[in-house]
Amino acid sequence: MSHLEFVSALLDAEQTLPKEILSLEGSIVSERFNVYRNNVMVSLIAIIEERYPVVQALVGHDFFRFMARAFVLDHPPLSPVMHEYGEAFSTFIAHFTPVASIPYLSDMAKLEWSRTHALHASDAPSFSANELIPLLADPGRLARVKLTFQPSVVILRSNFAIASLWLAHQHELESDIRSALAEINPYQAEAVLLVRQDWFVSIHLLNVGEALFVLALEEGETLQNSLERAQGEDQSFDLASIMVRLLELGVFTGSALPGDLQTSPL
Amino acid sequence: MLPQRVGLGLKPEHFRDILECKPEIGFFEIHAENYMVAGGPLHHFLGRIRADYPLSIHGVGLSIGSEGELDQAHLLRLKALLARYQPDSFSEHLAWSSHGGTYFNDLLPLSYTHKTLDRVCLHIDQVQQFLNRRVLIENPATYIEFVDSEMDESDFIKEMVLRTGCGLLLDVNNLYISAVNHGRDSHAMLEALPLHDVGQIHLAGYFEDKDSDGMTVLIDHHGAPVSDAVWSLYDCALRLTSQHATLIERDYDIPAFEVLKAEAQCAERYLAGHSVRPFMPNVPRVL
Repeated sequence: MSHLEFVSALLDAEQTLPKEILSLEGSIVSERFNVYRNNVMVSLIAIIEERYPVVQALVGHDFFRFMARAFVLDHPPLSPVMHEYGEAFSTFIAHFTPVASIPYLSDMAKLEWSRTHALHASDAPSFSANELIPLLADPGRLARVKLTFQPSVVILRSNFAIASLWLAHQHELESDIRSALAEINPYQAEAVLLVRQDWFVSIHLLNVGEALFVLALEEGETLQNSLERAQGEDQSFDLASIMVRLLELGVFTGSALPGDLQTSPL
Repeated sequence: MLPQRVGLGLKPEHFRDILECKPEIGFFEIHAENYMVAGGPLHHFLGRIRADYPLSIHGVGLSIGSEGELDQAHLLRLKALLARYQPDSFSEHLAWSSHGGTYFNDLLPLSYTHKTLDRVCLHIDQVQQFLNRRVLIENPATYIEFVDSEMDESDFIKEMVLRTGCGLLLDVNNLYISAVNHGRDSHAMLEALPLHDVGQIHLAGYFEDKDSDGMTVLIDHHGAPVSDAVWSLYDCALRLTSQHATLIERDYDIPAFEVLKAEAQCAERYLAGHSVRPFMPNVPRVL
């Protein structure tokens, strides 16, 4: 029996079955083969469903299954590691014309994928705020500090209110979700930071200045340059408030002082 | 080697219960691929649970029956996982799940030809050599058979075990499912297997459906308690085998840990009825 023939029929119900298949009686051959077709499709759709619960809530269960099936046929898994499966869903959604009327759906998928990524990213010890204390007496050195991020940190910027929409969908009651959604303008641009802490991934909304600051740090800019970038766009940028938040969330793993021989940890 | 006890599949929803209550469970089993991630809670909790319990690692994605070569990247991932957790047992399936670079996420059936046997044995040799350990290979649950098969499944398995020195993971549920789906006698199928090479036993629940002509078809879905028919076949298997480490698999509709624990205790009662002893001389040794 050729595996090529088998898999062609597996993903395409119109394909004729491999001729070598035998089951108890001829009439039930296709029903028996359908068990495999069903196992493959149902299990892969279930993985996509589990990974994208808010995308599912936004389009409804039945339509989601239709879209997930199309995705599976377009992007079958290339590896047996199912934690890696489904990353391309947001790009697929961006080109899937039936959902063109929901322009934020693709970014929502990106946010949900980032949650999976953050959950399974490498572990790294968090950097404590105490390690910055020696620098506080020397503002010149403090300004030149560069900070490194936890591997689980993801920063996303969207033209849509993806973080607010995602958070609204975390209510248990359908009525609470509806009233939360009624307050949201989906066309409000948002930035969001995801980080894993105590084995859970949390999602944090950032304002414009905070987003610019965190993105600059992530690019490897010094504290001073990151601060200037944020202040350039946001007059009310509050350095202390965002730094306290980031340190509390444990997003940093270390720091480096370019120009000094001293590197992380301080 | 696993203890002669009953184990349970380890589920993330039970991590905290297990660590808090330290239940009396013989061992835990994980699917290798579910732990192929860089870091995070899966490794954290598995590491802590591993410190307290024997561990079996069960692969579902190696595709030993593939027409093509084994996936080297996957073998490397397995080797790293086994090095990290030092499991008491490693097992895989007599099946294929990849073709031409695509992974189908299901255990697909093989035709039992001499050509397939050569290929499966070559792949098992490669796996055992690369991982530097004996692997157990699980008998499949199947829904179809192939006209080009040249031998019975049991003869295929016997020859595979003989040639490669691998062990048999006797999945009693799969055996029962295949017997019903192909109209065979499950006891005869059991007795035809190389039972002296059983290294572990699996039990699980199936889903019962009907073909359009009214015939029963059993689907291996691991979403229900073990059926009476499988318990009874298990009782026979315990009589005929000397390695009794038994796993209860549950992958869907996962109930509270206590429910699975009660099912494990039920299996422990069967085990207690068959004290472990050397291989029985009145059972023909098939070699």
